[in-house]
Amino acid sequence: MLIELKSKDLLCLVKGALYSTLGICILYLIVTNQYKLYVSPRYELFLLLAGIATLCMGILTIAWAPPKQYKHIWKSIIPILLPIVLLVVPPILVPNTIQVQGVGAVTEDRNDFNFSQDDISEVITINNAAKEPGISKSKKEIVLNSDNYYQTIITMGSHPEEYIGYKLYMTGYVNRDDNTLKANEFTVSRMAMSCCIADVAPIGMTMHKDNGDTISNDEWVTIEGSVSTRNFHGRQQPYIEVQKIKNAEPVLGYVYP
Amino acid sequence: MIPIYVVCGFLGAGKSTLINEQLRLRQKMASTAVFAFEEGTTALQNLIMSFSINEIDCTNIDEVNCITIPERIANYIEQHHPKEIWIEWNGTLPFPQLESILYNPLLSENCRIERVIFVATDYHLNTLLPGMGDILRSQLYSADVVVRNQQPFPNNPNNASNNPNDVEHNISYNTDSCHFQTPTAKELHHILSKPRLPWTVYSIIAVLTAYILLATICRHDIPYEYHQVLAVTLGLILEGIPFLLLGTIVTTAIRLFMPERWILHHLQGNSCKSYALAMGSGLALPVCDCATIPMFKALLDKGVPQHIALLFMLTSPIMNPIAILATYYAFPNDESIVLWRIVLGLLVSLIVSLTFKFRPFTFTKNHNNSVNENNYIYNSVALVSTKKRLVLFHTEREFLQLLSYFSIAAFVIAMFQVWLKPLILTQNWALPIWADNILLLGFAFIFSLCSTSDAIIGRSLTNLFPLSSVLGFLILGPMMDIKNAYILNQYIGPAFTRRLAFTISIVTLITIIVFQIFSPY
Repeated sequence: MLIELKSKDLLCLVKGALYSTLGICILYLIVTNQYKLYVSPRYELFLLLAGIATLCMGILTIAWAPPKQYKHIWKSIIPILLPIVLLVVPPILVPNTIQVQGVGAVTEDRNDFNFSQDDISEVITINNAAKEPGISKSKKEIVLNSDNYYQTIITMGSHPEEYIGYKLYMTGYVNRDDNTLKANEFTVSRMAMSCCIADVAPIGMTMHKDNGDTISNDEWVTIEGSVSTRNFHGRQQPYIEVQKIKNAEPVLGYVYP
Repeated sequence: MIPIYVVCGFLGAGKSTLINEQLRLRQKMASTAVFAFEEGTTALQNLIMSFSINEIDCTNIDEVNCITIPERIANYIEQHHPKEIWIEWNGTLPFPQLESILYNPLLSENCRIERVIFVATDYHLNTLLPGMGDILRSQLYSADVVVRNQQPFPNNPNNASNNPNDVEHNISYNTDSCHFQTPTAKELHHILSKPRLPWTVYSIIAVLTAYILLATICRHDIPYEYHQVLAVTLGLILEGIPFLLLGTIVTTAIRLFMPERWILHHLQGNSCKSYALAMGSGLALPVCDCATIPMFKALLDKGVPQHIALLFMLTSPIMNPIAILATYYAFPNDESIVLWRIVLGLLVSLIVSLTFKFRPFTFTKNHNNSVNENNYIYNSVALVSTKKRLVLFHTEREFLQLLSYFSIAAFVIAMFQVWLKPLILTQNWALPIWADNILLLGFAFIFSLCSTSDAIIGRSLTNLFPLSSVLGFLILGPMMDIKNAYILNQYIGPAFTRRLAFTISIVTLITIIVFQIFSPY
């Protein structure tokens, strides 16, 4: 078979190899779930199909390569080479590098309650009792984890009056980008990817705490608070009164709709 | 390895003369062998063997003749050990045939092709090249040096009626070669003695190494924003690949499988059915807005009337089922926005395509018969071009070309998103209402990524801008943005792109102003 390959056109063989590599890279991303760093999970099926198609295309290009040609236009491999190189030697991506500002991230234990979460912030345990994620009307509790983060905030935003008085548990990083915040107010948010990495933006809710200004920006915290509302530009918006707050481990990864 | 110099081109273009001149200059007369595959008018010096067309013309590499010729040449080489070989190739035979002879294992271990010289006169290039089709194109495509000889026209000794642009256009088809106007023998000799280095390969390797070094060693020294630009580019490309693939597969299907009769019957352009078909087919195709451009070109090439093809291109990103769903979820309080996006989008596309119906755009010859080297189907004599291989070939070529344009556009957009967007969106825009519309149309052009993400961005814009301008953003974004404009420019041409962009913007602006005046919002 090698002898057969030697009589085929080199450029086609190289292109076929690159296509296959790209297909394998895409499939690898999907299998290890790392594709979520680049695109929203709703594209998983498309990406899978594309990976398989690219792999097939690569194999077929090698198998059906024409015999040796003289002219090779090497710059045609650049478009395939680019994503492969960027995937294999990636630039720094967002979630891992939200540097916590201020080395003096306060370790003073504002521990009013026992809280723990797993690595991907899906399982939340508070006071040694595993909490059911989501909105619970019977217990009047809202527990946010990475899966339901986006949807829950949207739901709360559309009917804030329904959740007044509920207890809220969420983890996020402190953010003061919103320039309408007043004293002792801050936002607890997480980075959300709606469609792809180009439109990543923070999504969160406005909090109020009595000495809220002591909490530094970009610090990861878990809060237990009570939901109320406030009037914001003519619309009712959720407004959380923080009762307990604790330092938390940063959660890697985006939240998705 | 013995170097082989191939001279090909039209009959009577001056190939034999060129060979004779070069041989004289090279002063290796005794050890240079010349093989002729054409019977020309000028006698060749040092002619060792001459092959007639009957001997050469074999389509199957296993045929007797195809083996005899390499054998004969190999025997000669073994006996006489020439230092150089010059070959005069027949202008009526495709280049792959020469390749199959010279890359035969008997020969390929002793010699390699050093340079390919294509000789032609302006007259030939202008008149014969478009007609001769793939055979001469294959020779022109493979040439390293293109020599243009001035020769008087048969009927017009003054040689004045040549349009230099046409000639340039025909030659520019092969962008890798250098071309000269009537070089003297000495100049040509000088050019041929310079070694030919694969600069493209070297530069690719250099850039790759530089990037890998920077990305691994100096990883944290480079400001985060540069990383972000690359990350966004990669994200955009990854997200786009599935849809680009889908688009190119559909394009290939249109080019190869769509029967002309079906087109005549269904897409003629005067019946409501064709309009409905063009608008509705977007529902079946979840492609992003840039993947529809090759489809548009394929439809045009197949003979579908301009306005129908345009209607298809403009409505598919809006009718994309994923985009519709995304818009629905992005505006949970306002289900009517989805409907308005679709209805107004269809309306705008319809109006725009009707303007192209009543004042059609004249595609110049250059656009229609664009001999883009990537569009060239390189017919190899031994390539058994079954339907399957043709499909793969076409798809792969089309995909590569589209991906290259898309990557460039993605990079530009990434830079905009990282550097321009924060600047612009954090400003406090206190503008009169009518200016908002224009502003958001500008945003749509610069910042729109794809019709799905536009929905999300549109939602955050509703806090700052009135609804009519956001609708304008949602409608214009999928139809015309930087990506689209660039890719359209490459595929069709700048004049068409300008007219289309202008028309879409004006129609959208008028539509949303009317909406603003008459709507209950």
